[in-house]
Amino acid sequence: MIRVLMVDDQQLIRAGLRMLCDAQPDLEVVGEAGDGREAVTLAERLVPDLIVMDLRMPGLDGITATGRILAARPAARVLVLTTFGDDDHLYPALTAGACGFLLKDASPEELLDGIRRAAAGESPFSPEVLRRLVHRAV
Amino acid sequence: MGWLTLLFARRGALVRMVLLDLSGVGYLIFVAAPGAWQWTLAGIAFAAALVLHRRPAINLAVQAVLFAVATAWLDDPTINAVGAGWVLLEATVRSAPPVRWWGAGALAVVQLAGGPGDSLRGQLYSLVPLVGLPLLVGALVRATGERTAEEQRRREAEAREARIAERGAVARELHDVVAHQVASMVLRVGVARHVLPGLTPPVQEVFDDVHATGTTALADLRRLVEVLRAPDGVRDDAALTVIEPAALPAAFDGAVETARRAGLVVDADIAPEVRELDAVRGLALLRLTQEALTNVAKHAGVGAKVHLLVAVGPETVTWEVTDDGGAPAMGGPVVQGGGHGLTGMRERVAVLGGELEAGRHGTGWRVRTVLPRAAA
Repeated sequence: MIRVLMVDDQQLIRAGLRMLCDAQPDLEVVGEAGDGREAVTLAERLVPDLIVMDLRMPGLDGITATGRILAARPAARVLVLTTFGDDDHLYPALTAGACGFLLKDASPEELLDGIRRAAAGESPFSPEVLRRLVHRAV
Repeated sequence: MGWLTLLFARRGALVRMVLLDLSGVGYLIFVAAPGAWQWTLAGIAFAAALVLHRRPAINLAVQAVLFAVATAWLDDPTINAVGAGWVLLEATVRSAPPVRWWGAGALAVVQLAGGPGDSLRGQLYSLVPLVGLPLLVGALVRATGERTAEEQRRREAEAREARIAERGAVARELHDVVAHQVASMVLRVGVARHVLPGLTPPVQEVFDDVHATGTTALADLRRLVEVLRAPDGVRDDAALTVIEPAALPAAFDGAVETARRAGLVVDADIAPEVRELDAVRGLALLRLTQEALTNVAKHAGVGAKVHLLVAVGPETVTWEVTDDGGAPAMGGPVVQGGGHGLTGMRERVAVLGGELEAGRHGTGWRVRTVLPRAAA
């Protein structure tokens, strides 16, 4: 069973993700956080296998929250799920220690696959984001 | 030197000519004992000055001819000398540069040729008030005017640039907000299509269509946001370009806290109903607040007392930031407002169908707007 913490300031997104995960036998949403501060607290208390993290949130943003969570527990796995995959979001998130980067318009299959792979230690990326990374690297 | 430009502004030409004529009439009546010819030449000069007040070059030619005639025929050509000299000044200010040199040359020739009684030194000296002074003063006025105009153009260009930049920022944020909302819709629809049991094929098709359209729209929006992205990097609080209305009070507290750290004494009066505003208005109010508080910190300085008011009525939202101008001891001249910050704020308010009032208030400054709650 993969225990997941959902972090997003939009209630609609959290509900959608919970619905998606709850329908899977191997996934369990153990908590929801509406901003970065709450995410840091819940990550510490619940010790989830995976944290699905939005980047832009009021108060403490996702990048800062990711940094704090990993500083407190380096083994934690943070998968970014956000609207924008541009350089201003992508590189700071990776620098902060996120293990993967998915866009919100990914299909449910891609989302589930990404969540499972991230929990298993891999680094899932949306095709667009991957293209950007490759383009930058070569 | 602005007064000099003002004194010789194009608008005032007729007034200047009337005054010139009146002083001429005064001279004829009270000082000179004019004969018929002197009256005639003076009359023509007065009339030409008035009629041709908008055409300094032609006016100068006419006055020069009259001056030549007067010098040849009259004992006292003062009226025509003063008239020609003055119009030379007008032409130096307003006409193309060759006009002044031709005019000055013509007047000098007439003067030197027409005064047989004077010594050469006396004649040369008489050129000073007739030609030298008008050229000098005229050139000075012209240069000042050009500098003022240049300054004005620069200021306008800067304001325009700031307005464009701010419009870009507003557009980016608006698209940003929409993109986030579309993203959540797309995700939700995708999940529903995946998870809900017993969907009939037509319903599945609808879900797929919505998902596909939403994905395309999102891709367009992303491109737009990237194009509109500020070249000088993202604002330091870019995390807040999208804000859930429920989080607004906390965001306002954050802005106030930042201002307090900058040394302002902030007294915030924020209606709890701000959380009922839509995302675009909420964000605009937050941005206005940040900008206004930054301005106060910049212009009024440490220790200034600020009052922030956000009042939500059934139809309108009133937003106001007032400061007391800061402690006089903190000193320094108050930097005059109207900077780029204000231009940007005006743009933001205009987008939402409001108008920004900004101006002195007591010892300090006040910015204020009343926005309609719903789109007009």
